[in-house]
Amino acid sequence: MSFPINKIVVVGKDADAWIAALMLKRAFSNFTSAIQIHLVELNSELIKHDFFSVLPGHQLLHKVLGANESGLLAAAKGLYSFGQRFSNWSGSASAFIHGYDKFGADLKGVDFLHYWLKASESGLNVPLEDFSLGVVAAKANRFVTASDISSNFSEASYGYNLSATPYVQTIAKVALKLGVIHHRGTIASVEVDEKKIKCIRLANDDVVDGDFFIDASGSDGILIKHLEEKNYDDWSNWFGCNHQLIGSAKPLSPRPAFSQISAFAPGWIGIFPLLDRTAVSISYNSSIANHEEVLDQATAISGLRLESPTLTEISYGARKQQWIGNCVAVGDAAARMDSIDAQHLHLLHVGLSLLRALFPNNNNYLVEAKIYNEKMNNYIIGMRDYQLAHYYLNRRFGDPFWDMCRKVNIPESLQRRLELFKKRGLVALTEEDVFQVADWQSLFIGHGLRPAHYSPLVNQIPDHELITRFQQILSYISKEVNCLPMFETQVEINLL
Amino acid sequence: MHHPLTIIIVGGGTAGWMTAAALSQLIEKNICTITLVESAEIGTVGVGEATLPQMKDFNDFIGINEADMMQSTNATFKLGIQFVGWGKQSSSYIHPFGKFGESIAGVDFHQVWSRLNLVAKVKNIEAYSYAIQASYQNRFEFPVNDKNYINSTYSYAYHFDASLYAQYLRKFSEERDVRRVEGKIHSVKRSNATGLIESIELESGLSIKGDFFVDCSGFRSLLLREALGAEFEDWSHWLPCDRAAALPSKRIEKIPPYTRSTAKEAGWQWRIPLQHRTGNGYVFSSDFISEDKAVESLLNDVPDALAVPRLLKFKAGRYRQSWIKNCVAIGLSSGFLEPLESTSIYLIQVAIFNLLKCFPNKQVENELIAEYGRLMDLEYERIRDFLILHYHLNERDDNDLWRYCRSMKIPDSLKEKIAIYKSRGYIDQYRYGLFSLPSWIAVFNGQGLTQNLVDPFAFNISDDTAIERLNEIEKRISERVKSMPTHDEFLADYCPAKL
Repeated sequence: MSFPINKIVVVGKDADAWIAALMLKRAFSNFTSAIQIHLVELNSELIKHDFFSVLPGHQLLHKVLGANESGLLAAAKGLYSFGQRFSNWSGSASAFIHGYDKFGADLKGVDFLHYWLKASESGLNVPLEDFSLGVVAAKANRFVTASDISSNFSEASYGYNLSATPYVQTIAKVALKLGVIHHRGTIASVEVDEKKIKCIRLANDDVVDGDFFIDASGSDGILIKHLEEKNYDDWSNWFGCNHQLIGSAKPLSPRPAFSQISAFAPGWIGIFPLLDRTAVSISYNSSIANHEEVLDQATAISGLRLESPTLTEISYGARKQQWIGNCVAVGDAAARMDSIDAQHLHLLHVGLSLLRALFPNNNNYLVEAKIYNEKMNNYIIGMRDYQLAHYYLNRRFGDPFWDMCRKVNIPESLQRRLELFKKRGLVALTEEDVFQVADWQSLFIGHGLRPAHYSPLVNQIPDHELITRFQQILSYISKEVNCLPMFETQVEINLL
Repeated sequence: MHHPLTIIIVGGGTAGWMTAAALSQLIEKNICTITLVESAEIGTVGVGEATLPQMKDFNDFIGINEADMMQSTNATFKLGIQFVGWGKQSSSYIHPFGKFGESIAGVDFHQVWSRLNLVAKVKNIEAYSYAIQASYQNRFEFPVNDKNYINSTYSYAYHFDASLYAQYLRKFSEERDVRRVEGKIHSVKRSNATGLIESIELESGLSIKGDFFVDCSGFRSLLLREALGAEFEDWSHWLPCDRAAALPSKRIEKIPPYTRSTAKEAGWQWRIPLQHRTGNGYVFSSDFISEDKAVESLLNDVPDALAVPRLLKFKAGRYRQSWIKNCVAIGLSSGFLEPLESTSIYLIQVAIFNLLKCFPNKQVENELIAEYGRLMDLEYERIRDFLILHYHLNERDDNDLWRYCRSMKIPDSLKEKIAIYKSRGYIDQYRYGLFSLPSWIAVFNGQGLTQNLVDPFAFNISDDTAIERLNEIEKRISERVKSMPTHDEFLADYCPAKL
């Protein structure tokens, strides 16, 4: 059989482009016929402070890319991250950690959360996160090892914080070594024929043609824009931060096992520990404060002095169709997501996985494109709603920016989810939800939601027995945590 | 102090007693009280039932001893369903409770198999299914858990006498303090202010008050439809069968570990093997054959009948909402899908599990009702599409029913599934609902829909490697199946019927 696609062209820059090219190169590595993977690399927009904060799911992407975890992490000056600590989002209420683990253990088929709700109502004063091994370990600066994860009690996992430039350089090196054909330049024109991209003319007059194109050029969508009409959903009425400052500070000592997301009057400050520095991002609304004021406030709050931070303007929104004709937009070209909650590169990962499952096998992609677009839109909605909930549920009353965030007219998908949780503590998952039950519980409970009712079925366990169970879980966790290696030690062994 | 929820179950067939049994463990915990109202004068529909592997989860959940249950219900094991005459009149295949082969170098088995099909002659995909091979040899034993073994690649369900199963659950429930009231319902009393059901009034004059009502009244849908006015969503234009004639016959000599469904001129005929007898029935469309002709055809095709045929009427579809105010309908009162894929009891079970997930308080909570509805909609629609597929994919020319089904307009959701399978063998995997990859593969292949092309990454595997792996899987299956006891031997040893 002759395969209709012999030449795949990725056009773009930085992580989106290099990861897409490497993933495709590897996917076709043993192919019966030689498939060429070309990368037309546009000018990099990375700055030295740039970083990626990614979720545990990223481990899977690394597997697909064939990466050696420790090697890649060390090269990217990266660190493991067991969660994110959200502080100052709820007035004087305490901070919480969105840890990558579940809570407690279900009893009689009823989610642990419901037992916790009941116990809290009758006076228990232990935060939900203290029933999560992953979170308690992170707070104690410990590293959860595989043996604990296999205990059935914990599903603790880690994401990473990565320094963007060395990370992308490492991936690029591998991609080139495996035979990705590299072009560099700027695009002069894109030739379209019958709603398909035919070729690209570069500024130096080189022409790159291809059978299938990946647009990894960022939100401009330098390829897909030639195939689309009215294809953009703008989200600026939902997400209020319109500027971002990114900078670096000295490494923290000892290195924390989690990232820190602190709200302050004009927005939030993200602190992301890396091997050789601390990446800091400050997202804010410029009508509340200018960037000098923001920087002063952030320094005062975090105690971190940023060396020559970079300011960018940010906007939010998604393409309605990410796959049109023979072109698929991935990563930032698919949607400009908020950067909260470690969602860097996640959309890229989801898009590439789905593309692999639906990669065309003939010259007519209509069915594949339709399914791809439907699913991607659902994925995007789930991720967007999760991010939006952070802002919407804030309790910083009297701060104009945050008051505004609470008044946002949220999408119906999030509204329904919130109402069910508020009423009953249930999380309704859709087929394409990226975040799982425990993630939503952590988010909702962390931001102070308390369901009106817990499941009546929790009354199956008598109160005294419940107290014993809780004590058992807590003492199990504290015993386990004390046996775990220190995070710092694990970093030294694996990465230094 | 916590006041238990007063639950009233109306109707005592399979649905009623399954609900009672599943909730009965909550009684001693003071979470609810349960009263089940049934009338011995009203028959139940349960004939002899074929189930799905999820049935075991249900029995385990409520704490039933499997062997004891099987002995008491004359049960046999089930590894799948054989479809005879579906697709073409000459075709025959088994939809197994288990996988086809295993993924090779990260590529789904059916893709590798289809890809080889394009270049070489390969065996029918059934050769790579453990459950199918065991079925053809009338063998059974329990699967193992260790994934390294080929006999871990299947699961099993039961055939049992549904009336005996209901009786079994009745005893189980009554031992756990479910109160049973004998009587016929005269009327349902609703609150003028809220519209909630307050009580049911029996013909005897007894009034039974409750906080929450479960309608298990069967086709009549006494609470949901009659009292609360639920709106029916008619699916009979997709699933035109509207009658069934049921007829028990003598037990089969060598009991097969599978259900058989044989397509006929105006519908299909089931055969469900039990230990003491065999359940048979002709599901047909009265638009395409008269009742008399259908009964005659059934009698012709069933030797050794033990009774006269019993006729049932129904319509495919379901109520748009199966939970309204303080009443949830479970079983036939909430909708009907023909038993082609043995989904009736599964739908009862999943309704019970979803009810437990959304367990009500005394106040009506609309968010909870909406979530229950969302979960049930997914189940119903997925089963519906899968059933329609059986009818739609056919090349039969012996009757208008088949010509109609072949050319009818099918739901878009199904149309898309067929198109993407045909063009590349893609099958969506989902979190909720029945019928995963092997089920779709079995029916698509069995009814003659072959993939035009495959997943491109199937070409990462060389012909030689693929052939070698396929042969190895086939050999592992055939060798292991040979060592299994026969289904009869296994039944005699594990759960001989208490006759």
